[in-house]
Amino acid sequence: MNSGARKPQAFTLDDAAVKEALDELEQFELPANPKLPDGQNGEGAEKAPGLISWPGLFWAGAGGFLSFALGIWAWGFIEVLFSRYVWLGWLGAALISMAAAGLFGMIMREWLALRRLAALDALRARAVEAGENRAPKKARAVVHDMGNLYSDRPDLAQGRAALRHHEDEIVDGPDLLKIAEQDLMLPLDVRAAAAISASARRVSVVTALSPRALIDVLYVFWETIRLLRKIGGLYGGRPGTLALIRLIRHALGNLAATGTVAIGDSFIEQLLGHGVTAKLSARLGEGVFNGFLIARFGIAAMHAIRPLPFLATKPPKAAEIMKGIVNLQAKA
Amino acid sequence: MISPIRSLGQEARLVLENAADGVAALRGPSLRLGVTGLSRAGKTIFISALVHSLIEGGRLPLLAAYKQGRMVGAHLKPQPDDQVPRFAYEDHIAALMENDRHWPSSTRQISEVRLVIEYESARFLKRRLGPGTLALDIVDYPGEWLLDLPLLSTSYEAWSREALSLSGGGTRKMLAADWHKLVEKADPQDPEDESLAKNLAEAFTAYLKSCRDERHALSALPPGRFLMPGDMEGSPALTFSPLMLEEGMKAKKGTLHAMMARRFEAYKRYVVEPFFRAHFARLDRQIVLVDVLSALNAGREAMQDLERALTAILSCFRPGRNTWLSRILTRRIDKILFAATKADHLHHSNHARLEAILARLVDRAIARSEMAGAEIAVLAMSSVRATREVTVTRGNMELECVAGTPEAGQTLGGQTFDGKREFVFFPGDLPENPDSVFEANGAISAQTDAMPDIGDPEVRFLRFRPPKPARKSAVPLKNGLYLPHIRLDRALEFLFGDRLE
Repeated sequence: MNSGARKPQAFTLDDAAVKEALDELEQFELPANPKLPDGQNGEGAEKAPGLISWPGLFWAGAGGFLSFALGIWAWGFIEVLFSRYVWLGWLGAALISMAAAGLFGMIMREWLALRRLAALDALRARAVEAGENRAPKKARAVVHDMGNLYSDRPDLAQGRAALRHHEDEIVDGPDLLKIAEQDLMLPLDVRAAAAISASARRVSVVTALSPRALIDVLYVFWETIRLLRKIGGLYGGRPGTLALIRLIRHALGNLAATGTVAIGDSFIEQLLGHGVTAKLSARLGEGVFNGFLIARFGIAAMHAIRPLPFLATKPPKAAEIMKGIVNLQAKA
Repeated sequence: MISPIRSLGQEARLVLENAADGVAALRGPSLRLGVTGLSRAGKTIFISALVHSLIEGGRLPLLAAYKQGRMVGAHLKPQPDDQVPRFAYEDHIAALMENDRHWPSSTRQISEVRLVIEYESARFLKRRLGPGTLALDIVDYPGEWLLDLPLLSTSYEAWSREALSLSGGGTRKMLAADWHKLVEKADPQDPEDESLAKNLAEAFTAYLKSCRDERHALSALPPGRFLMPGDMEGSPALTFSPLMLEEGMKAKKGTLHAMMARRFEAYKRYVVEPFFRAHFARLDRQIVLVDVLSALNAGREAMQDLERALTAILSCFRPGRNTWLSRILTRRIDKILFAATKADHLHHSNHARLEAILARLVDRAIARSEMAGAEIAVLAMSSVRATREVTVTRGNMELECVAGTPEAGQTLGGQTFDGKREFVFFPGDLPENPDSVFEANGAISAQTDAMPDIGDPEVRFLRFRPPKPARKSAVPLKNGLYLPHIRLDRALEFLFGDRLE
């Protein structure tokens, strides 16, 4: 530090070495879907111990063998078709190529969806890290990437514009994240909470009215999937099937982590509050219970997919969602 | 707690005045915000920027009520104290923003402003009950006057000894030479003599004034009215000086000693006490602005001096947690923000270190206030940001610099600036260990030379002209002009954000 170069000194503005701080921002412009650093998404960490996973080996072998068999069979079948009539052979080949193209498209879509989810996870991990650090550099990069992530979302135009004001200002890292959360996440949170609330209410009504248990089990399942797709789409995940399964796993993990706390407060309060209703009608009680579970699950999914953790705003509570009053203002 | 007010009668009077304030607050909630700081710490700028950003709108993302859209507006209202001049907000803003942008001249007299903030509470019940306004009463005064508060608990003899011993060391010794000669000649036992008293007071004042020069930036210089006399100039209460007194010496009637002691007491009674009672004993929240950078500029001695001055001043506060009863009777300051101003002179990578140095400067006051239950925060801020940040590459080194227009006459490395052109400026690195700036062999070289630029200092800060007011299209502004700042919003949120909930 004592070297002469770090002595106080002045430069003129047209000095070639002078670089405006704003340019610095462009330096850490990252691709919209940043590649995952190894072991950062938790999945990798899970797989790390043990070189061979026995179920993995089984599925790899069985899957490979089956697709091999299927390929041989299809090849043989098409040969048979060609040997009967040529046009039949062409028809078979065309059909099988269509199926292959469709399969390829589906795989690509799933893969992209998984990558989007992974990008959200990575962004959240970086945001958590940046939130612990006062220097704004990392937080700025996170906010910048969030801007990219939502650059094609007309409903967030206002939030993006508001955020742009803080780009060349001095704001500490954690504060910058809080501002970004209020500008970009809050509008989405409101809509997510509304979606959860609607789902929970529908599930309550269907459970209470359905004549058979099987019907409401199926309906709850279908509604859960619908809700997850909606929340995923809102926060920029747009999950496919595999990504959906992964999202469900994340949400369940989140529920498991916070479940005990929830049972401690709102859950019991909820059951007690609706005790009278439950006595009036067992079906009505079940309906409320199912709706409550859906609400809990939807909130867990919000936690799992939201690219920023809840910093300046408080997450909605299941009890609030059930009552239809959601107050998503920033924390006191 | 050390309270400068010891008599029960005075305490009772304070209780009465606070109770009267409490009754007035029933009509509309109000908050007295104390803006404390030695001279040149940036009190006037802070108040102007606060008022401007709340009235005209600005970039305040961390002021929750503003960010959440619950703040409807703010406007100036007639202040509650009719005998105090109004804070010349419009003039200060004009000085900052109009063509020949300059900083408002230093404050010469006390002034007050009341800003009424209209908001809607986020709480259901409060929305039903409260009127949704908060009146902020802010007082501006010459920072020099602050130095007097510690005098309230000192006797003339004790002050005299302290002032003399303080002037006997370091830079002060050189500056006080003329005055010392006079004091040595004056025998306290001599009969009282008006012309001698006048000469002594003049020499003493000259010494105090020279201490305050930018090159030395010394802070602990009571009595403050000597530097900023206001309308009392020349009155006997302002014509006294310390004398060479021996331990345990009693003042005999008719002597010079008795005359000086009487005037010292008069100074306390007519100057210091009304100021303390009217403004300091009635505060709810407090922001202490400290110009750490100027003291760093001037070296170790100035830092130690600043520490001494701040500790003495802060011991006059009444920190503590308010209950509903104490809010009415004995007001306590329940939130104190220590702010290192002019943070725009540094790149933001140095702000954490600046805060560490400030925390080290006021650590005794912080400990005392926390023990009393007050909430404390330390912040590096800039009410009006005069620079922007740039980086300069020198070889393989990145220098984090600021760019701005230095004021005319500022110098660095033999270069004198004309106050028109913009320059890029690297101020140096602040030391990682805040203790080092107070230690004798610290990293900061003391600049006691006559020329500020001699020597090879580790850090150096220039004074910049106010920034060109920016237009930011999407910031909701009434007249489209915007004063940039650093962390002003965070300071506001800390100071009264909870009252806007």
